[in-house]
Amino acid sequence: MTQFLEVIFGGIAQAAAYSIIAVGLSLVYGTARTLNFAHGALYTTGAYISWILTVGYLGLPLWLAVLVLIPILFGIGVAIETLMLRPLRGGKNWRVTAMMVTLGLAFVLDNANLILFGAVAKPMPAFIEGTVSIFGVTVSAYRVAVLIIALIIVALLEVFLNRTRFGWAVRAVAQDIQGARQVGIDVNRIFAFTFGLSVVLTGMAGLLLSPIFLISPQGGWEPFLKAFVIVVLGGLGSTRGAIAAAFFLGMVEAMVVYQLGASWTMPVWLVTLLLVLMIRPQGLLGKGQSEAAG
Amino acid sequence: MLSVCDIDVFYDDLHILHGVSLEVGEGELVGVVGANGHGKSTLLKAVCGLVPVASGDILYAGESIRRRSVSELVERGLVYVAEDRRLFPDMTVRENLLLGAFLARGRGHEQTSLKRVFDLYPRLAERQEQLARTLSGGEAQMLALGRGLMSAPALLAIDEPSLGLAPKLVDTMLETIAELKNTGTTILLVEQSLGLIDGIVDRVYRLEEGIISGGAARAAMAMADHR
Amino acid sequence: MTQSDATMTAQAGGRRLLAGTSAPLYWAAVGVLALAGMLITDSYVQHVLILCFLWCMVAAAWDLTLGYAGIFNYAQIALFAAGAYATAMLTLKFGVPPVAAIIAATAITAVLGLAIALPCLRLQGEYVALFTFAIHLAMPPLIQLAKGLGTGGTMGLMGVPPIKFFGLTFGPLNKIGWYYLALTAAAISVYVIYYVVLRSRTGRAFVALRDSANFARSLGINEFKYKLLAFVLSALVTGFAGALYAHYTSVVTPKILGNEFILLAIVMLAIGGIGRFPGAVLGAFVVTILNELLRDAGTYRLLILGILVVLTLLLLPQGLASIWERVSRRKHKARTKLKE
Repeated sequence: MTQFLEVIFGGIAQAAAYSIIAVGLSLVYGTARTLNFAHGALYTTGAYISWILTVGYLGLPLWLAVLVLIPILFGIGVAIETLMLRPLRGGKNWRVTAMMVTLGLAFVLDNANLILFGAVAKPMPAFIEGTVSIFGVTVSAYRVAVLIIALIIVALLEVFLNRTRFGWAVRAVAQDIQGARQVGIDVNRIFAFTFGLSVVLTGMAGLLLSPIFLISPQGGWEPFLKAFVIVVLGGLGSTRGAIAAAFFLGMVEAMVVYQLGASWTMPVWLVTLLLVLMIRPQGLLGKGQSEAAG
Repeated sequence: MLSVCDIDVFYDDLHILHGVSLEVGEGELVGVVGANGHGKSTLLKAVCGLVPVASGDILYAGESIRRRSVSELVERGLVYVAEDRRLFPDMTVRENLLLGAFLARGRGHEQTSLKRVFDLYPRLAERQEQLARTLSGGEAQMLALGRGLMSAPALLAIDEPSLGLAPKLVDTMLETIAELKNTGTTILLVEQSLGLIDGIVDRVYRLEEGIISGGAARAAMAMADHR
Repeated sequence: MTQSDATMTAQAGGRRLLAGTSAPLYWAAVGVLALAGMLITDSYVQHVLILCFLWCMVAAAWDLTLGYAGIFNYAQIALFAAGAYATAMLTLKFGVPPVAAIIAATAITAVLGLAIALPCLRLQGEYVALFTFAIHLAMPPLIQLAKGLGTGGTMGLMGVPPIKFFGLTFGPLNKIGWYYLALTAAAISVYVIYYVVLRSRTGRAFVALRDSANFARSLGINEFKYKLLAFVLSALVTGFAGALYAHYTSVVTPKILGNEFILLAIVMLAIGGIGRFPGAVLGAFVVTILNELLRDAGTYRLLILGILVVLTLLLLPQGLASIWERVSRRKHKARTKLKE
């Protein structure tokens, strides 16, 4: 029983990190109507950058590494949106071309990481060692830290979206692009900002999860898919929904791994994706599509 | 205050507006009438910077605004109210209104504007905390107009406010628009039929298949209509 | 969008579709390639062209769903792999003769396409993209899990037997035989997709649906039926190409589902131009040859291909096909001027 509870708790901690990736994906998807296929590759890239900053080369302390990491990730996101996506928007077939560009970018990042860092996975030490005992269940202190940090990040995001003027503008763009333009919101700036923020979120998740999963060039695809399932299940643009969905799916994953073994992880997520999409086939984009066309 | 000079507007390969010109003087309420799909909305959107103008020019307060962004235009008091409302459905009535005052121009008058809107439409005051998606058609139109007012407009471009409203509501809506004019807001109003707005406009243009005509004072226009 | 807008775009789409290339010109090009086959003696050049022909089928089939029918289908390489695995498993595990195995593999892939399309077409836009790409990503672990069924696991399947018919054997060394076999298969597949299907009523329905779904619906075009048809036909051609590929290389491994193949297919469409015949087909030739030229670049090859995808989409958003169209439009203008 305790072993089972340990597995469940591990699942929850990972899921919390997944929910950060998911919220990032959903922000861009919700505002700019772009499905960013490079989101997973950016997760990996974030992990590699933090590896360089900490144990890899520079040996910075964690807090400093995070402070350096955030602006780098934000800049990468803004650059992708302004240089690669904005020129395509409004052109013929732009939804297909935008998806292809992000998919192309994903492969560029994957292969650049492969060339730069090699195929062998890079280990990352846990930033906190030891174990904690909660209600008689022993769990690693690092997983507890991941859970807490992830919850803090999501809470901050929630405050930003609901309490700040800029956050309101982000929500307005997500709900009606033309309406947002009408009140004078610079929509392109919001797109660039949300893309930057989304890369910060996924890169931070890369940092948080790397001690658990190691860092490998193609390691981003799995979190990307999981994040999407979370977004679909939790509801587009709903940070609280993402947390709830992530916890639920994290527990399901933990139980599957416990009962059937790790090789069943991806098939199970695929089936979950299928089921979720069958329950919500209209897609959360129903609204967004007419706007993109109009 | 606003001069549209010989503009052409395209939507993909479709030529929507053909050399359209019109004038709106300070404090005037000018109407544009025409059937659906003849380019009325496109005209208003072109004026407010929401669709690009291919040729010709638009002067606002004596200055060309053809290449200005929507944000700049809103900041200078040129505000568009859409026929399809374009509200933020998952935000409350109050949040929708406050977003109307997103830019510095509107924010400066946030509290007075809010009071003005609630005086004009007490229904909105009652429903402040309700989500916009739960509003009835009439209330949604009030909110759309109210959100426009929150931007502290100097010129309000209103696109078919009667769309989808019951006849009685249409009358109230048009009354409030006339009231806005009386408080000093310049208005460019688009409708399908002259009959609806005949009583409140100073001058009327007619837009047919992207070509504009008329623009005389409304009595003359009405006579031309009867002939 | 008003109805008149929709009619105009639908018509414009139709015109664009029909503009492309005339059928005699197409068969002339095929004829030139057939003649070239007699002149080329270098087996490496033959090999590269055989790959070009097989990739033409994959690119054209993908263009049918992604470019013309407007379905965000990213399971293309998964279907290619399905065709390859089906024929390899049938011949190696069940001893089915190669020709029968190829036919069966083609049919199996078509059925698989149907199975993917049925849930998929109830979804909207990006959800289709994600679902189909998830299938792509889930295939390698599934192949590993199904090792007991004879998939060969991570090692793959070796020694897929050569095709034999009319007393001819198409072994890996019979390059000239493969040249004509692949050319015939590609020529017919491409012809059927672009000249038969897309120029029929069905094809016009695809374009109308892609360009303005609402208007097409108002005309009573059954969106679901047509998209299903496009998807299944595309899967059929792709499965056929996959099966041929398996017999040509005699090896089938999960590597097919790695970065390289899907990246190649994306570059083909990006460089060629999506939904603009002969874009995808030209793209298949250009990219296959380019990929061979880049062999020496080693690990940098995939990076270069990825950069190429991004750059062509940004700098030449309509691909090579747009250059082609510009040329043919100029010719057309010149001709009409002459008539005047």
